[in-house]
Amino acid sequence: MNSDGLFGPTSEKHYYLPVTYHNKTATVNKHKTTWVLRQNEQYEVFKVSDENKWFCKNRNGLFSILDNGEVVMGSNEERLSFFPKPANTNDPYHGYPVDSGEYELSTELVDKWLEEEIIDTRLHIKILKGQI
Amino acid sequence: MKTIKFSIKVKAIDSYIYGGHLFLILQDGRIVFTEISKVIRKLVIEYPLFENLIRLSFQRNDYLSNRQGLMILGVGELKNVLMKLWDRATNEIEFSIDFDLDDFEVIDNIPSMPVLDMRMYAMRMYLGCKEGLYEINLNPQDNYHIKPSKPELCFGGKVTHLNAKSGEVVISANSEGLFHGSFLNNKNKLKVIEKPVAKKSIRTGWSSYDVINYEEHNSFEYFVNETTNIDSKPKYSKFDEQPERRRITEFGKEKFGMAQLMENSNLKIEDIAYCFNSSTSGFFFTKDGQFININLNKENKQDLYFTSRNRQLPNLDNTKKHFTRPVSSSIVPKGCVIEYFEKVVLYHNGKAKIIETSPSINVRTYPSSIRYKNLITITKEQEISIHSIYPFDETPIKLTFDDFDFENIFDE
Repeated sequence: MNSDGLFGPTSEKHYYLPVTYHNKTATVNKHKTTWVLRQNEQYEVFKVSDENKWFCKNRNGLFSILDNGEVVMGSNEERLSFFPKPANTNDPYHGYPVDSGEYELSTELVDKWLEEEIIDTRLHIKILKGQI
Repeated sequence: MKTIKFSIKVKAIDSYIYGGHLFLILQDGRIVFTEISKVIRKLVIEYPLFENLIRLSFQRNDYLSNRQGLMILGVGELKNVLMKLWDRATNEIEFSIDFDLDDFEVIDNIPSMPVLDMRMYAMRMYLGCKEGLYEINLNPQDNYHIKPSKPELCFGGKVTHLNAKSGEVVISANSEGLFHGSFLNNKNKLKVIEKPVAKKSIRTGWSSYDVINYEEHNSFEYFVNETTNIDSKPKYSKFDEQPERRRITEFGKEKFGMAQLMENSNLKIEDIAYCFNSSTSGFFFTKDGQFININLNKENKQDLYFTSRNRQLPNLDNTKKHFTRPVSSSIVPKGCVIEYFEKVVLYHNGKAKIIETSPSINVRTYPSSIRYKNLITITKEQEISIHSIYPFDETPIKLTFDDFDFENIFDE
């Protein structure tokens, strides 16, 4: 983390800025999901997504998943996370845990994860169905 | 009492029991089926000592809980003997057979993989896939011999969940919306109405003839459907043991929002992590780990609401230390089956019982079927397992919060 509170850059030259209201210690806000991961762990999740170009054109941002969904990222057992593309190219990314029922991933991205063995057949189906 | 279970070693992504047959979607994309009696015969050859229990459990489970069965088992110690045999079968034996493609008939290759959901209804198979909904007529010649037609595309777009009843097929297509259609037309094929009735749908649940649409796992909308009585046995239902008596004539004639339905309940909407419904009640997993059942007042359709009385159901853990958010949910008589990320749990007669300890692709129940209402089919990457639920009442345990400290209330 640098003096501005930014993590990075990734090999894509992108930075990550954890947002207070999504952090694990944040006050409960019914509209905001919260991480169970520490800030540096959040960055690692962002980094793997950014460097592998897990971009979803449907949602205009990056999705991430670790270890075939085994790693729980959010306090409501979310196993996926989303990093919306910043409005300005030079701005840092922020992100938060999501589930595929609320945040529908593009079929192309879920298929890419299957082809690259990021996920198995089971997770492929679960994510396409919006169950995970 | 645990479930009696048998497994078939097969690489499949979905399995479904319908009309005396077992249908499978194999991982290579083939749709296959066989008679249940053929599967049971193989099982009986392997385990001859348990022949009658196997047949009673998996083929005619209804014999145990229909009026005749209850009368017979009400005599003397017959029920106790059955309980002992059931207990022995669940504790001592792992019923298992190997898959043999020669025992199955191949319908076709599914044009779009993977299949995300399937529904068998009115001698038809509906397959919701990544790239559309396919219809297979199982009985185009209108006799009881199954001779399936080729899959025909009847709806474009990703289908995440399917439901069917009273002449209507209900299609969840996530952010494309909620659709419905009927095959009761001159072509005898499903015609889906193009305009969605809701903007988002990941799944639906029946509430008698009405539909609850889940936009997300913790939010829903109630669709009141107009129905009419059917005087004569409908043609599509002629092979059913209990033919359908009502037909839906207007889908979503009236709608009730979640806030309106929850207004009288003692549960805050923002506390709900996951919810689903049976015909008469709602089931709610809260963010702090509680599992709650609330009756849905439907006496007057102008005034639908969840009542103020919460019934606490047993849960696996009421702390946030262990994550227990459902992946899917299914209804069974006097309970439900919850699929978690790494296990499957049967909540039945006031007890929570872990029935599978490894991840599943799919879990199915058959609550409206006469013969299969106490069966659960679970599809995993290497096998499918079929569970038979002990159909009798077990004395429910009176649960208190203190009970959650003692693991012995849960039958693993």
